[in-house]
Amino acid sequence: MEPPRVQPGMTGDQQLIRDMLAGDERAFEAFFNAYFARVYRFALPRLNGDVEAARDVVQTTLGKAMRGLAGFRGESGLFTWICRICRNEVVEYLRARKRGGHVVLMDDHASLRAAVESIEAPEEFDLVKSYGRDEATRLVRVVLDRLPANYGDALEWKYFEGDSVESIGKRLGIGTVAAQSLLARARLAFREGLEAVFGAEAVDIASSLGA
Amino acid sequence: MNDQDLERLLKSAGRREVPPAEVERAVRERLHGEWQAMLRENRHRRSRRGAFALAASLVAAAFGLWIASTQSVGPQAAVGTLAVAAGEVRERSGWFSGWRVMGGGDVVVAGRTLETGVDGRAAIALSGGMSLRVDRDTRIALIDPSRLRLERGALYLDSGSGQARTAQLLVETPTGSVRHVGTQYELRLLDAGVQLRVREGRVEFRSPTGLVEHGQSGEQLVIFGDGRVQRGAAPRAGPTWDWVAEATPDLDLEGMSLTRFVAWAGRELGIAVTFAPAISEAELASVIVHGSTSGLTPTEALRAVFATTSFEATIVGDRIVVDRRAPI
Repeated sequence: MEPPRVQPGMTGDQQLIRDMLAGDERAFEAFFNAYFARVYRFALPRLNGDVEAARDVVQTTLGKAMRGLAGFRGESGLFTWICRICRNEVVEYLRARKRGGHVVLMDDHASLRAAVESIEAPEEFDLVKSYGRDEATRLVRVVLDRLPANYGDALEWKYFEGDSVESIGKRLGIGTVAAQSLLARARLAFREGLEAVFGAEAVDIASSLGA
Repeated sequence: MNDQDLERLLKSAGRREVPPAEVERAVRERLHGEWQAMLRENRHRRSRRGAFALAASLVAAAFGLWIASTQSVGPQAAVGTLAVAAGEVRERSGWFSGWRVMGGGDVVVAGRTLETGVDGRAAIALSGGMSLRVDRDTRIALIDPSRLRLERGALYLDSGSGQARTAQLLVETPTGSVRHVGTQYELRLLDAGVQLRVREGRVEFRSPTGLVEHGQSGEQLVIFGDGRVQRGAAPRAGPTWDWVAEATPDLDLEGMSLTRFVAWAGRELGIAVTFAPAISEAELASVIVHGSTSGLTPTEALRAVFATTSFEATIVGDRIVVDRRAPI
């Protein structure tokens, strides 16, 4: 299925919102494919790995986001905005079921959150260093999720599945040249995201993880 | 970092978790259903607006000559603009003319009578920065830009903050007239008189017999036709003001600081804004928000706008408390 085309002067998010509100099925699919898995991964660890709870919270979050799309012109990216809705929904879910002790993740701390969110909306941030290995690898995956839609997928297809550029282009419904360009941007964004979160050169991060 | 470094780093971190297929399927189906329902609702709303517009056009066409023949010729002063028209809102220019359905953005003209239906609410942006809210099942006669008559139901006047307070509006009722002195107040017609609730500032009530009463912030006055006056306390916020919040005009947030936005919300809700000790007003002033509060009450707008920032605003009793968002 060919993805919706972006009109000049509009961001991909703006075009997606416009097309969804106009009833374009492809836009609904694009919205769901771009955000479902990322929001699920955002919610799950905050709900102590409870899959059923994550399903309910993600359902509610995406529903609220969808209904609020018409008024969305926030200062942050669409995914950042959806994550904030999700945070509130997690709190509401736990409160409604009187479950205390929800999980505090490193990327929920204000300073690190600012760095993670800066991947979508660049701004000044404090350096955050010295994590344990498990947390560091988890944060690498968080960075992948925080990249603009499709970048994380494209990098995983390329480096885990060994997909060719042509194949990635087909999966994304774009040409080979566009896929090549998208991969280049994805690598750059990923490297910058890592450096923003860890406050170190990407090469050093790779070394410290034993990569 | 070269391609090999990148590959090693990604593999070292491992693949991102893939949501279970049954969860994805269930969420997709439910969300798709919600989306379809939302589109149907939007279409229905649009067609309803179209029907209202068509009805208004037909009414205007059918009664055009008759209305023209019953009205005095000459320019009529604009009183303001209809900022909110929820449910049924209509106007007529004389006893012998028909009602015309009104919509948001319509100019409100002196010499006409405006009425809301049992499901209707309206807000009129008056000249001088004043905001007039009209409750359901209410009728007001717009005499001129500085004078109106409440014939049925209830209205709320916000004379604006700061310099906008200079504008004046006299509201007449069968029991007497009300003049504000920089204020937010509600005036409701009762069978035997009027009820006046003052949210901010001061109002002056003057009856045809010379009775003069003043109402202060947080005070409620019931003034009977026979001159009796009952005074009591009126909370400045709470459910009795909900209808006012529901008729709040959209606020254009584009380029507005978070400080100004929260001050607006506080004023609309009739409550004070306080900042947690770790927050400075200057810090909040540096946060610029975008968009509009279209379709949201002030409470909903507060939640929606703050959700896009790293601050949170919580309504605690009669205050909005602004704090840094706590990590989950």
